[in-house]
Amino acid sequence: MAASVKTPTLTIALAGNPNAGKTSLFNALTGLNQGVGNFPGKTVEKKTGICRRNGHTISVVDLPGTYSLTAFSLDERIARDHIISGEPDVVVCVADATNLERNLYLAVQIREIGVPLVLALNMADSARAQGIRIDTKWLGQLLGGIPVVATAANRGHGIDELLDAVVHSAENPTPPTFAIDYGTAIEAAIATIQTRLADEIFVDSFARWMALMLLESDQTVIETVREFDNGQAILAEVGAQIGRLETLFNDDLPIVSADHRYGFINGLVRQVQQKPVDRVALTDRIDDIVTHRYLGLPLFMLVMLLVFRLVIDVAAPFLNWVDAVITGPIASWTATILTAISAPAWLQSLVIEGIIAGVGGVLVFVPGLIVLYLFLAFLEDSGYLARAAFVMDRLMTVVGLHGKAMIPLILGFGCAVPAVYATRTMSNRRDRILTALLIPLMSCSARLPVYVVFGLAFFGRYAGTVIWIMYLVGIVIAVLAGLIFTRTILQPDENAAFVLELPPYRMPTGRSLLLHTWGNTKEFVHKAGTLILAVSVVLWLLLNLPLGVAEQEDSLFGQVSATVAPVFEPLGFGTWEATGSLITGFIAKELVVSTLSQIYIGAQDDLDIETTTSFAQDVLEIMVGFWEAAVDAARTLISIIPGIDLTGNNTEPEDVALSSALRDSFTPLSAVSFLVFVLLYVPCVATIAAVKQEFGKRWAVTAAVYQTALAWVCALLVYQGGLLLGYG
Amino acid sequence: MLSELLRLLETHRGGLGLSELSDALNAEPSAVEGMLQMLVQRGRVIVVGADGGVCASCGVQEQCNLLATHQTRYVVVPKTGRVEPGVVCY
Repeated sequence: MAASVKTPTLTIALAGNPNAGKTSLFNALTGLNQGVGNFPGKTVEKKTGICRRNGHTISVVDLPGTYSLTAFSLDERIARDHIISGEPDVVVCVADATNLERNLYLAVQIREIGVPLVLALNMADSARAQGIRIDTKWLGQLLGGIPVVATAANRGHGIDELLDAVVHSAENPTPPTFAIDYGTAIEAAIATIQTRLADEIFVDSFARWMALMLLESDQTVIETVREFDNGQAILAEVGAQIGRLETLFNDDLPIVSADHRYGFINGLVRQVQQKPVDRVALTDRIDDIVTHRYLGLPLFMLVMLLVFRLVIDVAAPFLNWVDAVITGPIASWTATILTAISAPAWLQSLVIEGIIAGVGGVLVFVPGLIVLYLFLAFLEDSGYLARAAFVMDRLMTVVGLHGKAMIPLILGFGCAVPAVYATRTMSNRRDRILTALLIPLMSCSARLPVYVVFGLAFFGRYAGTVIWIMYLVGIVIAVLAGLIFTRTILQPDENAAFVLELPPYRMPTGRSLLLHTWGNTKEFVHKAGTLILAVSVVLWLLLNLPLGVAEQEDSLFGQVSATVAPVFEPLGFGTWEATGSLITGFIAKELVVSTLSQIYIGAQDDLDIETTTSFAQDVLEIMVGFWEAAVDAARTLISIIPGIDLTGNNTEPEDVALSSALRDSFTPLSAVSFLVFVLLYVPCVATIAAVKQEFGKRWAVTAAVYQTALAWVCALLVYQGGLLLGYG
Repeated sequence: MLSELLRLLETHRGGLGLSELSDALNAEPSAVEGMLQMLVQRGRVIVVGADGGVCASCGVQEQCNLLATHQTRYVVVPKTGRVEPGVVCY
């Protein structure tokens, strides 16, 4: 295995981790004059090239990028086979100087084989720019006296020095004095096996490496040894040693030996490398503020306020556009088609008043959800949401909730169903039940359309603030309910500490944001096309039974709703329409808006279905409308910057068709009362089913009853309190 | 280092993230990533994240704020060789 000098022609192999700049170095060495060939019998390519230095012709072989030589993958096997083949006179290990500790693992493994090695610390310029200082001379000494050369291959820096070191190493092969101390037991085993190998392997360092590989159960080396005359005896000895050592360490030997290697590298890096602490300090400095005991929570609230303001301000033009498209061209085209095929009146009514009004009434809010999901994805991917969870966790723990409850509660902002299942992570049943009872108080995304439509109808430009307040109210009520439960029927045994990881801050990628947003929006649209569509059809039927009913109020649905409506009279919304929407809202919260839309929009006698415009005019109108919405949204977004106002005086977001209809049936006070009720009342049927599945019928009934009672009391306090204060 | 890393993971049933592990081990994240990669290769550790095998059976990973807040985590495989699905939902 010892390298023999074949001057004036040398062969060098470039090994290194992926992305260490190996190809750049190859190109810098060979001037891009590489040839491409295949390893025999393999599909993985190697590149070869030629360069010249001080009268030597140097053939350069670029090996596949690998992190180690454990021969797990084809790449690793190819690289290792080539290194131990004796073909290269010198191996150049290319290491990323900005990630020294990781890159040294491969260098150490190559060093253990005993072949002449030169370490190229590539990207040295980047490392310097990051303030990383590496003592190359000392590093070379600690690796057994090998040359270490700093390079910046993409700029051509250090290439001549590297070639000089290569030639020098080839002419003066590095003495194999490098060995990691694997501890007494393993070293004894290595020595025993090494002695057995002595008859076949004449180079000590290589015999040591083979002994180590045998102990690590390396199949390639085992097969090689099996071919030796005394191969079976050696393998029997190896098996005995492995059994003894694994019993001793109670772990796999490859793990134990890798542990020693990593330990060696970690210690080595500490000696040769100096890194600035600024970058870490920056994260810490940001965390000092965003997770501050007193500032953290208000800051989180402010961030969420900004998000909801943006959702309303940026999405409002698009909401209006989708609304106009659905109630305009889509309704018009559908009516035209139904008339053309001579569809009966009931079918026209079902499609226009039932499906388009019901499903369309929900789909209108897709732009709002897209914007919300986009902002939330940004907060998640940037690492801020984890900080928010940390801040909230502290708050929840203060009121007697288990720290682990934080994660299911956060999930509750998306959908309560997976959140209830997520309580499985808590070992204490009482903690799980308590958390499950509080999860529905977190505003799930299905409630957002209700907030948006009422916000736009009654609070105009402050709609975003109103939505934010609704989320806040949910959290506050959850805290209070938690306090009551933990002091009455669900006293927790103890509050175990919970470690929340705070990931490093990073700039989210556009792809990741779009994937998050698309995933969530897809779910919403899917629900609109299935559950909401089905309920819209059933609701249309109930609104038109008994047959020939003239007024919706006299329909089956109207009568049932009117019977229940007096219950909500003290809350300010004792109408059959509001009651009906709350009844269907039990199936899914999106249906509150869908039902209101079907009742108020679908039943309008004067529902304008303009069929006189041509298809081309409609399409043009849709495109122009979209462009105008995009311009309005962009202006609003830019106007967020202090000192810039591109919105002119028009700061009131336009509302959707349903919003204006609601103004005739609700007052601002009764609207707030209705929102509070929707926020707090019985969770959807899927959530109740999840609670039943996890905790039994008793707790499912408890959840439904307590939340409805809580909602009724809170809405009553809001409405009657408002009346007393003169807001009627 | 590896044994310390495994011990850390064994004491955190729900797993730990890269930054947390590198902080605890006082090692470069990329170096710890290399160790984790090796442990994953050897079947001692599994990756829990949006692309992780364990979460694939959940069905709600697209909506899972949990994955987003915790980002990718690493969970040690118990002696039984099987990671229960609920374990990763920390």
